[in-house]
Amino acid sequence: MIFRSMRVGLFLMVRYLRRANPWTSLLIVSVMFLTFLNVVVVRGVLVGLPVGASVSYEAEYAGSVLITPLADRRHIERSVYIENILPGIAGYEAHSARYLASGLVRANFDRPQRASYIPDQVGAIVVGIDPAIEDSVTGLSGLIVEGRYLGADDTKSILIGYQLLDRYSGSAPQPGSPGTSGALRDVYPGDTVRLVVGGVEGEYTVAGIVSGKVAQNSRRVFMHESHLRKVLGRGIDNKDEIAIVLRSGASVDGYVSALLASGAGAYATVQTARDSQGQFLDDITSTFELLGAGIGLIGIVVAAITVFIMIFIVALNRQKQIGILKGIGVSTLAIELSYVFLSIAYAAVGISLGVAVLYLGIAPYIAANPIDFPFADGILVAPWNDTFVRSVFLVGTTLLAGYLPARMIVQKNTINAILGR
Amino acid sequence: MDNNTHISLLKTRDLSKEYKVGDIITRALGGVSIEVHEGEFVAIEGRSGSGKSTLLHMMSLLDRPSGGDVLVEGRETARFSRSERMVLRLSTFGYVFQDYALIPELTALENVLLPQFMRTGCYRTCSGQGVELLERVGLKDRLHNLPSQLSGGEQQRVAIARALVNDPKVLFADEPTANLDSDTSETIMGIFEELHGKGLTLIMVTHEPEFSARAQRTIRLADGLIAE
Repeated sequence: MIFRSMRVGLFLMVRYLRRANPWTSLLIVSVMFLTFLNVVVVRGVLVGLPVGASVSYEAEYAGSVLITPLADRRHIERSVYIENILPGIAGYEAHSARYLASGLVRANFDRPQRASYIPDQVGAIVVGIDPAIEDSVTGLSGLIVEGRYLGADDTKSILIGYQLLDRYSGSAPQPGSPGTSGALRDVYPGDTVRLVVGGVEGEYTVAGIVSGKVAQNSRRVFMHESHLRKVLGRGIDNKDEIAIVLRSGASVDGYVSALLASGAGAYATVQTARDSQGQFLDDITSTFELLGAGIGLIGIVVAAITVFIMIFIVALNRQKQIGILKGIGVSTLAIELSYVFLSIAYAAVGISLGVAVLYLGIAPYIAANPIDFPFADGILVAPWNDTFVRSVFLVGTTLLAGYLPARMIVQKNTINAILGR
Repeated sequence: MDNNTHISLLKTRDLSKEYKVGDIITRALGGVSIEVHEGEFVAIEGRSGSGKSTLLHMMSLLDRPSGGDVLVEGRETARFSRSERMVLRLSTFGYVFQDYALIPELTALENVLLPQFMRTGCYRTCSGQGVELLERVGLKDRLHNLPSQLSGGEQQRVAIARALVNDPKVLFADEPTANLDSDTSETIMGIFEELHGKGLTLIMVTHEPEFSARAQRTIRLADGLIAE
């Protein structure tokens, strides 16, 4: 009897659907479609923010693996030894070693100033790089928004992170505020600035302005590593950061394990790029997941209520027909199932449309044109398995929302339903 | 009357029905006991509000009485579950409603086949009987028309074909000619007489004396009671 009721329910559903008011069907399908996008895309964009930030962090700064000094050390010890190990471990593609030092950048030092003038200067991390190698690892030259990248012999030129400039950061030093807490005014490529690093002050030409989503780049000053070493009086060893890029498909965890097994852990902190970002990223991701789930849940509840009302109205309008069906002996289960199947059909069409639009339109578009957030290139995180689970949940909710009103109407007294009482 | 008409097919025992609206109780039926034998053609006649349709609803198990019982082939139905009543309506009864009561989304043939589909689970391969029934009521060329594309008389003939598709033992008809012109009404009555001639038990509610006169027996109701 149950199987027969299912068949009759399906039979009725197909006829209802085929001969339904197309505008009503369109409305319900649209609700399902938009709910699907709300549940999957909004969550995907929210989660895509921290994921996008993480992607930028790896691409523009850390590579796949980042080596930094041990917590109780100033520099990476035996960094040359470690660098020699790196290419021998499976998966290695390239690496960039950097020297870091605290510095102070002064601009507009040659202009006459009033007595109340606060020096136009900012503190920054000065990074010594091999320009060609750094470019091959992090694509730093691609992040130049003004001016040019450092050449091989550009020892008297520097690159300045855009967040150190007032026209990008919007925060120049203000009277009464600490003189080094703001940003530099009117600094353009070709200008000369003074850089104090390791107690040595020198004049440098601004070659270019570095942009990007990663704070490590946007608030740093880059110069040729050989010159920085010379200024600091440091040797070739004792580097401060080593960013390693692995080949596509290589195991990051495997590489880190192999590196630690080789003894590098005794001289430096070896971490995957993700681990080096700390708990913060996980917390942000979890928070956005929660936000996405909350927004999605509200969307599902709204959709459920909408479908409930729609099916209730449809069933209420067909109250007489439902009574007739019962009167001629069609089981209540078959009648209820016809409306459940109807809801599922609407949900299936809406979700199918949503999947098509998502994976053929929105996802490729956002992948090609990431959403430009200040701290990340927003991407869309919508893995198939996650989409499937959310779709099943949506269908389940719709099923319930279709069943309840049908059940309410079907339970009415048969003759009252027929006579519209 | 044939011999088989002496077998009691349907019996009501002190059947009553009351409707309560707020504090007001309206008695639609006040203890009606009748018996219908197999093969009989019974007309239930009465003025509007006499309780004739209510009696038909109780006898056909479309509604539950406030008191009394309906016996179908000797079985008391008062304690029947919803599904047991549904099975009886599906397999033992056929019902022709006053306003045809076709499902608007289904074609004439689909309307006719639906009860059979529900009873047997057979649809496509069993459509022959539906086609045959529609041919019998003169709708051979209207099989795939929706109810909205049919006239009132045609719809009523589809409703009769639907009521017959499961070979019922009793056919109930609630004022089947009320919404039809005289020619069409005559056609419908002709179909009923033909069905009765083939041995089908018919119980028809009507307020038109010329049609009730064509039944074997007429039960007259007034104020929810049998008048004579």
